[in-house]
Amino acid sequence: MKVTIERSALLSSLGHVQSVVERRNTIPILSNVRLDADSGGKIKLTATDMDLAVVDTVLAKVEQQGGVTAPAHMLYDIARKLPDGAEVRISTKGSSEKLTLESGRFSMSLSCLPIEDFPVMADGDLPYNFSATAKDIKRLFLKTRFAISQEETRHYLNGIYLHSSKADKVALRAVATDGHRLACIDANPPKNSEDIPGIIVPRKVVGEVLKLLEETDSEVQISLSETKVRFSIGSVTLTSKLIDGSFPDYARVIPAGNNEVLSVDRKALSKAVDLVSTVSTEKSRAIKLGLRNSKIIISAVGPDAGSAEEVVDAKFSGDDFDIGFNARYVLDIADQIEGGSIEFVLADSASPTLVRDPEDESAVFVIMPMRV
Amino acid sequence: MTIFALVDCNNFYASCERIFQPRLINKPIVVLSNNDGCVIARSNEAKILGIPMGAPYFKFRNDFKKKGVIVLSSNYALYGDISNRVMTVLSSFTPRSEIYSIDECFLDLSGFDHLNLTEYCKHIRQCVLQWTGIPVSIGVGQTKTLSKIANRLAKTSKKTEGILDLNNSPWIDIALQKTEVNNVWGIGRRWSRVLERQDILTAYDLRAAPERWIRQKFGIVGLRTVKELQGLSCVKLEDESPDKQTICVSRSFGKPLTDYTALKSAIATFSDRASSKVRKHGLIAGEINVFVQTSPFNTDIEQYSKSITLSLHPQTNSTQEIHRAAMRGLNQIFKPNIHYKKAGVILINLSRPEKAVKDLFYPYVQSNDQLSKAYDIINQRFGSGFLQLGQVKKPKTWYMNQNYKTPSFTTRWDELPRAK
Repeated sequence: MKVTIERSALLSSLGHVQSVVERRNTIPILSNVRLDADSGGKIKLTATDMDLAVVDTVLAKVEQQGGVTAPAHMLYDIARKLPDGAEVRISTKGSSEKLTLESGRFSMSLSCLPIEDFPVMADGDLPYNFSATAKDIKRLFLKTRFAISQEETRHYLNGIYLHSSKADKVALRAVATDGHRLACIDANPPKNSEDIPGIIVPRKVVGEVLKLLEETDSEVQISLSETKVRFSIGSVTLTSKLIDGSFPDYARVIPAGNNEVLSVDRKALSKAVDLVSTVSTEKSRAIKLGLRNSKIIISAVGPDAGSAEEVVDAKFSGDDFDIGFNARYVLDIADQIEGGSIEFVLADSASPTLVRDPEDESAVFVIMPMRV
Repeated sequence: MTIFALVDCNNFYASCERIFQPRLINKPIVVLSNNDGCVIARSNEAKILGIPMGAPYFKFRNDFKKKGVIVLSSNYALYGDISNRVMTVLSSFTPRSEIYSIDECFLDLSGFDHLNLTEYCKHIRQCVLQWTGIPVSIGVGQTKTLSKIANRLAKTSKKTEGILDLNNSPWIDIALQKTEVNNVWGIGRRWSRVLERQDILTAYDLRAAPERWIRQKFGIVGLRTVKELQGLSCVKLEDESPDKQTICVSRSFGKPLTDYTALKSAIATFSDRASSKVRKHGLIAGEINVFVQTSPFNTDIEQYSKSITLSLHPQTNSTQEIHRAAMRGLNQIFKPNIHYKKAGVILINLSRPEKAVKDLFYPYVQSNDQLSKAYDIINQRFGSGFLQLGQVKKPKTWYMNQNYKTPSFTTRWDELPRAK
């Protein structure tokens, strides 16, 4: 293999694929990125962790076709440190055990592993295909990601449940929950998305897709089956296994009968919750919201640090009562709301509370109170 | 000014055994670990004979016979009950105390300095001996670390007669000089090696060590120890014991198990015991870990060690639910034709039912359900293990070796001591 490629193109392409590569791997070849140079003047870069594979294609001057695998992070670091505008020559000799990289007066040699050992992820049949705007996918993932569970014992909660909802109106819906809070976001249904099966997109895939979407506003092609999903974004294709399991019936935990509405300025609430919760040093970071007719008394008690309280103006439709929440959960949800105010729709101090943006019906959050 | 006393029971396990068996007095006694594995406690007489702590029984069996050492299996029911009695007596001598271990208790004697503390401690010692039959040693100091040092010297020096008060004592420097650095509370083997390389060989040297260097090498914990040696109390008395984080019930088997039914019976017993314990502490569990393993010492067999953690939803302390989850776990990790030597159940993510963070999908906790309550009442009335899960097969072929266990004199009606 002998290719010449512009440093910025190589860096951008390696940037797309290298984050899939874990820092420490069980199988040495998983630390490598695969480079395939074809006769059409393109290099295909592939990285995988066996569950997820990212492929990017980049233009290059291919003098000699061939393939090689090389340490992904090191290659990325080198490309990052080379001067802007530099040309990079990559070549291998004979059995491809060594890769030579040259740029200007810099040259290096990298040990490679046999390309035949690089695991190939079979796409299989992906019968459902639709395309959505980058903006919609970004919104669906960004606003639900915070609620993905970290708990390994309920593996089916370790991702975002993407499905077509036909509840009130047809929508492409993303739901994530860790059992203590839930985020449910709707987007207009893209053509051909109505019949897709519900899939659970793993946390890592969500992160990778969001990274790829940072650079583009173009369409995202999504193909899926019951076990795999593929996102095609510009020159990059990300294929992943899905989480095997059934997502719980989330609709039954979105409260429908809550009546009392608390309306408060979002920024004022966030600021006060953040400030007051500083004294709450326990893992649960409990805060108490004292709901009154025209205000909320936000308070927290720390086992050693004492107590704190702040009053925030608000409108509350019900009789006075107190309710406790994990401060982190309140702040996370408040961060997802774009409007100026935030609404809590409550039943009592022990039942799940609905949180919403009064200006955006397509986003709903649920938070479980805690005893304080 | 703070004053702490550390009360430590002398050769606790051996002393417990002697209460109801006076024939053991003045005889060398060793107590073995679970499954009669190795020596975990020695009487003074056994220590004099040079029997090391941790000596494997199978290696020392003949040696013990030759030297006339009395070998006993551990009897935790007895030790636990006697410990409770000792701690109850001790708590009557001061408003604040901290049970530090089964045989150690810190007493807060701050404000007692108008008394002659040596005389007061003599009185405590006498009462504990008379009311429970357990001899204790007491060390007094301005900090917990100093009281530990005082206690150690009280135990080893005959002159002290079991009591040493280092509070405002002219002997404190000598006491620190006599204490090797590895015997200072909180200084482990690794730290003492580092200290010894710097010629810090005793507690006295450590007290004068450069604080900046100590902080750099051992962090704030190391610096606290130095400050405590200087008489500045940094480690508070923890009179409210924090809730347990985990509850583990595990056993090494007397003979390796290969049979699934026997292993199932063992795990069922462990899960039963663990659920009773979690209820006793007024807690509920959020997760359960089940583990099985072969003996790492038997290299002739296939080695296998596996564990699995499962969520308990809802969080529970019900015997039935915990047992069900334990069985699910065992089914997932059991591998046939393996010689299992040890297994266990660990309940984790424990919380008080009223404080438990509830789950959206299980917005309730299962605490002390009627069946579990009845189960506990029956077992309390008729003895632990009277009522068991159906899966527990008898005889328990997996039972650990306890060939030299004395009766549970104080906790079982049928094993009460008899006066002839």
